[in-house]
Amino acid sequence: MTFEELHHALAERQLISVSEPLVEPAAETHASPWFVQAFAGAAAWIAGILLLAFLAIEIGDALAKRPGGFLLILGILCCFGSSILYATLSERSRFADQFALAMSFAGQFGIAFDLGEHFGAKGVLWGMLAVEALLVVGIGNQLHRFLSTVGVVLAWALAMHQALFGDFTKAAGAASESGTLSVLGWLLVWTPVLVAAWWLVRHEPEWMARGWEMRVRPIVHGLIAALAIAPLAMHPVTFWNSLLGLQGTPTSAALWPLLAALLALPTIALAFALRHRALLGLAILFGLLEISSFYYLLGVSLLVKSLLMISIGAILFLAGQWQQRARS
Amino acid sequence: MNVACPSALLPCISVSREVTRPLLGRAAANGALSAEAIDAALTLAALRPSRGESRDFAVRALRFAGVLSFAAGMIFLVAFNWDALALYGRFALVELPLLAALAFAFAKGTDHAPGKLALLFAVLMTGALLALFGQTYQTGADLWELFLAWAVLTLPWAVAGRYAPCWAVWLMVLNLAAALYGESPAGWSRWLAPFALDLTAYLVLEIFPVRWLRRAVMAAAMAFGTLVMIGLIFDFRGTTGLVASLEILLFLAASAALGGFAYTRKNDTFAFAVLALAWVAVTTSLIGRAMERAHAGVGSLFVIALYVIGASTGAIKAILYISRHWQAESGRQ
Repeated sequence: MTFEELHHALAERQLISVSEPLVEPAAETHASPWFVQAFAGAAAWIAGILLLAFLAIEIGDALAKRPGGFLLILGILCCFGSSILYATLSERSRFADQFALAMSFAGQFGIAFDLGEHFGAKGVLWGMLAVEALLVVGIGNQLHRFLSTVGVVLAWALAMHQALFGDFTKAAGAASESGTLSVLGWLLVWTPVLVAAWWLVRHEPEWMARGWEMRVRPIVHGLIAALAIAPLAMHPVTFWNSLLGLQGTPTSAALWPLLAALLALPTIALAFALRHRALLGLAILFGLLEISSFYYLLGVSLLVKSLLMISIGAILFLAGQWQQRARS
Repeated sequence: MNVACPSALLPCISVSREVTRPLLGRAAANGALSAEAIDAALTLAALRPSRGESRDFAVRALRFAGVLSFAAGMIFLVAFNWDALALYGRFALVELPLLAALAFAFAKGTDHAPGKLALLFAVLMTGALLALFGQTYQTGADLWELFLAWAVLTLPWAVAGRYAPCWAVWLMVLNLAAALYGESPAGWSRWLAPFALDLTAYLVLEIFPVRWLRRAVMAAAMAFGTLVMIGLIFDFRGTTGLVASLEILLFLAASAALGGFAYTRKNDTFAFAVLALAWVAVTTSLIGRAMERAHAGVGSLFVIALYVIGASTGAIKAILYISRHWQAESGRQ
């Protein structure tokens, strides 16, 4: 449907005045498809690591002689410089745009390293949560805001995991002690994120009408992407253990991927509601990874696993058939 | 309806574009639309799935997940390696569901989802059958031969199914065969075989209307090509001169052909993004290797970072320019 056709349709429904034209916006010179943004993000991420490595090595001597917090200050300066570049030059220059993103990544790595050195894991996680939240608000670039939103959720999940279950590097955390506690803790982490994403999708017309498209859209996409990717943060070691076939992961840890796979369902629904294929693909891909992880960690025999899969498969297929019949 | 000049290098044109979420959002930013109007616009412009579409999606997802889970369960059942079951019992466990799926597909036809899903199930079960066969009779065949046999045997079903997910599974099996062949003593280059295979598959898939599959195959081809080139640059494999020349030649020819093909087709800039990523990765590796050999020191990190930013910026600018150029051309037509 074109804007002209939309105008007629809305005018027919008396939702817009016939005489009031619906102005089609000018072509967005900076708009780019998701795969170009993914390419830009990947390139900037690599460049950011290289930039920080260069800065860290180049000023390594100075760093050793100076009191703590030098890398933190350098990181903050990088992030600040990045926000200035975004605000002043990025609209006119793609190079500045990319450089600002790389600089911001370098700054974030720097801040995280310094916080880790002085305050340990807890300091990094809560500190980065604050930094990412500030970046979501402070830098208006859409790609940066999307990535920072994912960063906020990731930091939130890891920080909460650490606060609730102690050392997040432990394979299972409290999952081995109390299933109820684990589920409650997990809900405490993910319910706010899911509710926020759902609320924003549901109230999409309202914030669009306020002219917040550029501000809110990347946050919505970031939340959905984070709901797909970040549940891994709640079981970082169990996931990699299962993927790499490492030993020593208790079977109760299977609870994490199971919960994450369940979370993939509303995430898929949200991505579908926005008709966003890239987010939909991401949610399906990570959902499948979580399911594989669940079966791998489930401490039962192959026979039981296979019977479970066959039963679930049959139920799902029959449910699909039943839905189809109900429809037709 | 007037559209601002997309680029100073391109002529201004008059074209009315399709309504998209970002465009609608930007139109709403002018204050012309109320929340109720946007709500209606999202439905009218089909930017929000209808109840019927949501139901269709749920049905498709349930059926697909059901078949995948069922097939995975059957494969696990075979892997359990029942001692209690006799030889015929074990084969019957795999062959009966396989035959049932084929009979179902034959009876229902392959124009609709149930028949297509039955063929997908049959493709997956054939792998389990071959694994069971190899396990029982200890054929001594290499692993790549098993996967190749799997792909060859199931090709008719993939063709009959005309179902993109089934083709995706089939191509994954064939890719595994190619990668394992490259790794085997008989193979002479680890990633060259899957690289060449996916390039060929991409050409064949041009007859398919499914864009995601073409994109996935193209991305896989260039990912393998990039691995080939990075392997050569860092000399991971000690490749011989002839093979190395062939690999380089294929990478260059594939890049040129894919770029040229995408440019003439004028319908998808995805190929350019993949090519750009591949080339940025390869040239960055090349610069890194050259600087390492020249003992360039820490400064090389800064140079490489700037190169990555500059190259990716140039690539993005070029991709967006091409995209706008195509838009302008289609507007003129």
